[in-house]
Amino acid sequence: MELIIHSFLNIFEFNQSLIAIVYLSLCVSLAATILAAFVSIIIAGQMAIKNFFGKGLLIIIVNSFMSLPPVVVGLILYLVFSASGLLGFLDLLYSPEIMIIAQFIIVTPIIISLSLKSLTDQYERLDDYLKTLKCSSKMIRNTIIYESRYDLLIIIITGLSRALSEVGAVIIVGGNIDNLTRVMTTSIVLETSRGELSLALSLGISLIIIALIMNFLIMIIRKKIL
Amino acid sequence: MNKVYTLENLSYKINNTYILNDVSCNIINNSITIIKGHNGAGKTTFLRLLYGLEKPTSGHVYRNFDHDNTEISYLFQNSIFLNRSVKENLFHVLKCKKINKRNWENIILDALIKFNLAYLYNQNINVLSGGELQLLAIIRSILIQPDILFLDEPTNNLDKKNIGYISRMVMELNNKGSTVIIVCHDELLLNNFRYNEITFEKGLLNYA
Repeated sequence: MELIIHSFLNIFEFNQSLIAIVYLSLCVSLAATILAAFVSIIIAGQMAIKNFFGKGLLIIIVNSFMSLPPVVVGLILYLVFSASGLLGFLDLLYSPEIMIIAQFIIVTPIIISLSLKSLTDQYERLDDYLKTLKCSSKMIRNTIIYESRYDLLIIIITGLSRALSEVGAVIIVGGNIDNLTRVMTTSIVLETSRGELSLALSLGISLIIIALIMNFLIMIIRKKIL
Repeated sequence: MNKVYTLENLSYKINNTYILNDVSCNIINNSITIIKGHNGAGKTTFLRLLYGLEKPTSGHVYRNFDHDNTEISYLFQNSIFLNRSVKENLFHVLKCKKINKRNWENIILDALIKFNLAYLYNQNINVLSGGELQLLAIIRSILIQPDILFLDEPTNNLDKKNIGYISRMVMELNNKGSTVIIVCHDELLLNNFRYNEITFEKGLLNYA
């Protein structure tokens, strides 16, 4: 009981190290998700309105990448960005930037795959109407993206949740360095192994609060749709 | 007489069932053409083939005009709207037609006022009645004066007064040079103007 009280006190007393970890987690995951959303929605939009050779295969590949193990992503990035790796000269290993790249790779297939369904449905609904307006491809893509805006927001929030809760990749490429690359999930792993359960629990509670806020946002958006 | 469309031996089938079979006819420029027939006779399919929304199984549709420089509007039987306000739905059409943004509001308000629908300007599309939606779809199809206008059941959900509006609108457009092709059974609409008639029966042209 004392442990739980202490954990809540950490949160409500705005424990400095806790705030720094939560802040870095949000920055890294938000940056990765925003970048992934921007790229994914444009790709999904193009895939929804165009028929091209290999489209079915591409969809299967993207769907398969949704379940890409984060540790594998972390390992590959480690090999590429380590000193002897192909992009080692960029000196990105153990920095927040490479954590953003890792989360971007994990979140992008999720957003593409989920957006594609929503955008394809919109395209099928509006196809005839847009054809009779002689809209350009760009205009058609932008129209279906705007028409799917509420669905896409929910999908982006889902992507953000995935990025925030991810641990395998960021611990490999970030190295869990205090005040530099330590985020909520990696910190929970470390503090638990060190027996500092109070801080680990505080971070866990913070993560749950963020998840609740996101679900609350999804509920508001859904209400707007319905 | 100039022909806008020439159809030669046009057939369209789905799963081995002919929706249209060996249809040949012409649509005359600056005319009003009414397409009649029982439910399932192939009227809407004919209209979609004429516009080019469907490809014929066999036969040809010759379009005797420059498709890029001809304004063609199409009113669907079940109108499709964007999930936005009335104003934004109409803005979207003008944006696609590359009309100067400064004129958008005036064009839309003029069109809405003509049909006594100015009060709908800021309304969301989801709160409109069936009749209001139908009128709005018609307004949208004539926002920019079309050279060719396709109307698929334009009197759906409309009362006598509004059918009168549509009738006057069709005549006005035709007098200005538009070719109008209408799928319709409503005598209230058809009584008011002279037209060419194409009647379908089970996918075949009925010349009787």
